[in-house]
Amino acid sequence: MAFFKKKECGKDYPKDTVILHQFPRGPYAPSMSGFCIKLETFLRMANIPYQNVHAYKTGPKGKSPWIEYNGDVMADSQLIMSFLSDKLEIDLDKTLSKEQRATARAFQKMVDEYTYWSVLLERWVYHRGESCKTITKLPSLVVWEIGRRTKNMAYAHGIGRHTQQEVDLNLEADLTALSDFLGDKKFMFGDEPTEVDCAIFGQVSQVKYHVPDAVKAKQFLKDCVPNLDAYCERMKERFWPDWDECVTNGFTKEATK
Amino acid sequence: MENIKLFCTTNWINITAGLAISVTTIIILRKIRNRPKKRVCGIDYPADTVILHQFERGKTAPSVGHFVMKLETFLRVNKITYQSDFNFRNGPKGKVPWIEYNGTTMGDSHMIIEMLNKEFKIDMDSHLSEYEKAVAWAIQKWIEEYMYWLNVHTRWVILTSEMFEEGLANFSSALKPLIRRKALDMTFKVGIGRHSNSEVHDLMVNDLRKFSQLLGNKNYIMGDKMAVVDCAAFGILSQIRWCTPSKCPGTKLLHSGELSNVVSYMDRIKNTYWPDWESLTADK
Repeated sequence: MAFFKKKECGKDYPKDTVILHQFPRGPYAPSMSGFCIKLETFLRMANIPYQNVHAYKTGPKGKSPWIEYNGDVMADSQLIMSFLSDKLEIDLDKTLSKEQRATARAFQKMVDEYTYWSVLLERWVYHRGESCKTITKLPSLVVWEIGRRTKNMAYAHGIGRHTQQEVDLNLEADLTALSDFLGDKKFMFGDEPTEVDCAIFGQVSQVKYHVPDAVKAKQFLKDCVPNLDAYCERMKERFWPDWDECVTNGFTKEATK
Repeated sequence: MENIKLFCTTNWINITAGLAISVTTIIILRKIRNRPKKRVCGIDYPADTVILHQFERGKTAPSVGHFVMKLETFLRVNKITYQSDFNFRNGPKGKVPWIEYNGTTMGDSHMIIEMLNKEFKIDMDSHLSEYEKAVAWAIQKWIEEYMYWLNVHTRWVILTSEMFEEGLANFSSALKPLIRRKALDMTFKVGIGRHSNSEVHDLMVNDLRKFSQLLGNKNYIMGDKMAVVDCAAFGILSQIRWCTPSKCPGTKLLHSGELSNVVSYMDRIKNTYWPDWESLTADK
């Protein structure tokens, strides 16, 4: 039986530094998980010192990302963001009114609880074969198992009961809503980014970088909602100047950060 | 007798296989015999009438189904002729509500509404700009994909016993452990089931407060006129207010008077489109 030593802050990991546990770097974006990109973008936006631990090991809720911070172990990107904002007295939404904060909550839930599932189905179920050739080097048996579990979970959620065409249309509806809300603005709520931009960038970056070309939404993003595509580039330039060091460039090199 | 015993002991493998095959065949034949007959419009159900398949009426609200309340509110707001059919099983997507209409069978409240919009040339969102439609879509997704699951987990995992004690469940309490296990399986896969009870309660309370801030002094979410998102909001919120046990902090909050704008909003929709609320929820 393996003995798991409880880690000690100050000994096993530094104090006042978020230890961000997340999946290994992705081929074309810093992660294949929209939630890992969301949380890491938040840490950069809020200037919170952090260190990465790249592994497939999941955290206390059985998912990734998760963190260790000054003795606390936490999971769930949104709960982590609330926790750190409270602890460090940060408020990335300080310029927003109460109604705007609630609208931001709605968009965050839309992308994290709906767009997310559409992307999973496109990647691991409808276009699994192409994903194996282009965006993952995991063995095909592992990818088959991921697809089986995704189908099972998506069925429980409800979205997995729809046809592929219905899911394609729902994903386009989400991207259209984001584009229409963004309009001419630089970020979702104006000239400066707010917390919800982390969640939106996290999930939309998966459509832009980490689904096979055969996925209709990928072309839809470029051709039909170009302002949203440009917004992704803007978030990338603003918070990820080291983007090239955080990707494997199609598995041709190691990510150095 | 001795011969029978000898026969059984020497042929037990064949006997067991034979019994297993017989039982399986009987089960399959019964399933084939009992499968629902394809219904014919004009014979099995009237033409030009939406047949709304839903759960049996609830004791504290017309339905214990979040999306049933959403869809039935939509039908009433748009004065679409419909009939309720309480045979809710065997819907095309395995969920409730589902409809039959002029030979078409459909599941999923959103897709049903889209079909009915085309059929009856209606559009509850026609007064909204593209920007406002985007906001309404996001709010609808928040309520249907998050608040809904918070309430499902609260009702059927955290407070399952209370659902039966307060007479809010529509079926036998013998099914309680099965329902709880199935609900937890679903909410765990969705993600919300991985949170602690107190986290789920806090999330619901915070979301209700945020919804109240979003609604503000407006009559409806997007202004003075109802939109589809209001049908969705009424569907989900009606369950939290009237069909979730009183121990639920979200339910307590709605009854506390703190979110008076949300309560007035719900009463506005209930009084306008559900004048028969009391008769539909008469104690059975």
